[in-house]
Amino acid sequence: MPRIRSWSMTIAALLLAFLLYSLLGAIDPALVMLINPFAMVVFSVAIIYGEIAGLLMGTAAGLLQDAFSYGVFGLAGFSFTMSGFLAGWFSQKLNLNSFSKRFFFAFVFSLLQLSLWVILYALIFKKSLLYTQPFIYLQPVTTSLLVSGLVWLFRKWQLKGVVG
Amino acid sequence: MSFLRLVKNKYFLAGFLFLFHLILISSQVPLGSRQTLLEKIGFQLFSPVQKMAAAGWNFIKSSYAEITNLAFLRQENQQLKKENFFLTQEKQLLTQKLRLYRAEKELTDNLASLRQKIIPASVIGFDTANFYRTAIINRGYEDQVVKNLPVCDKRGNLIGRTAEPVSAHEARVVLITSEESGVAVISVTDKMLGILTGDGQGKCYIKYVMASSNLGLQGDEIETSGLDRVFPPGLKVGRIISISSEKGMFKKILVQPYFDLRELELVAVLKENLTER
Repeated sequence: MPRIRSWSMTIAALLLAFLLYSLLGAIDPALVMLINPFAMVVFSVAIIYGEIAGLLMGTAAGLLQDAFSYGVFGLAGFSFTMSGFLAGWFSQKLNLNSFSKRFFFAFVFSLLQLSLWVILYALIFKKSLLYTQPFIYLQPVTTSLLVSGLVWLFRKWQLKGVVG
Repeated sequence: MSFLRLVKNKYFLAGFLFLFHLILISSQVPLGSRQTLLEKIGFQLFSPVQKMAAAGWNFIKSSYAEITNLAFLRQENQQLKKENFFLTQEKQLLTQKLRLYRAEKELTDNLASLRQKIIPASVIGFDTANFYRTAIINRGYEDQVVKNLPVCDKRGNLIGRTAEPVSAHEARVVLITSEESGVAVISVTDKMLGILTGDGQGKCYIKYVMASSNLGLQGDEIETSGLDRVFPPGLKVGRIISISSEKGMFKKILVQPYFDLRELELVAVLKENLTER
């Protein structure tokens, strides 16, 4: 039962990220470079549930993000799968109980994911996103801040028995 | 080890998914101009969501406006905006028509049919990886939108052309700032011809102007020449911001497009080549 609850929460989080991503894109396309809801969900899930959840969430979220971009399908999927798995694996080995530790941890993996995506994009399209998307430099910071906050909130709710 | 146990092994699963993505990526490279099946499916599935999100956002924006403004003022404003939109498009096209057709009667005849040849559309999304490449509009083949129709902003400046995939109510627009784009252009002052393409970073440049040529003036206005038979002649495109001919046999002519990405809410799809009649 708790397992079903966790999975339904994860799926709900993914759907929410999907809606938020669409909404941010509608408000201003540059906003999705600053706040990436898919990255937030992948790393939060990886920290909370571990590598398998991080891996599967990485694949699902990455492919959803790819659906919003017209070019090669799978670039974000690959980078999120890899970083989601690694973030989940390392999160089980490290003590991430404090906000600052979680922030640093999420920052490193968000940077890894973004670097992978940018490198793959540059290799395939022969064009660097680093010169076209100024907000991209801030994405790891905003992602790690929001991931740390989300995990903190989740653990607080978990103690109260609100979430599984 | 049974297959189920193999799937449950996290390292096997991770390896399988990495491989899956690598195969997925390599099956789409090298890139061609044709859309992949995956892209088409993705477009059909997700463009309605983008449309909903854009509609939701517009609803929030308009609700806020309604609170802050008086209702009748807003209505009047909407009406005027719509009127202004069509008038700007008409003015832009009529200026060209005037050059071609001096006869008054012909102008009057054409004026009546002009409105039916413009499809007003709203931009519902952009390519999120690089928003200078493509935009999505809320008009599709049910609104008579097909591929390769010119698209202008509300001031009549060229923003791009429609491209595949075109679904029932949504279509992709390749922006002139995209590397995929190619527009036959001419400079207004010295009539320099060239092909305008995007740099993928918000600017455009004109290709194939010989370095030995003395044509090309900084600050000169660029408009479509109509030679590509996709874009009608005379649509305003942008202004030359720099010219250099240091290396290679061609000049590097950088153009700042007139359209502003952040102001692209309402656009006009030109149903047919309006100046060719």
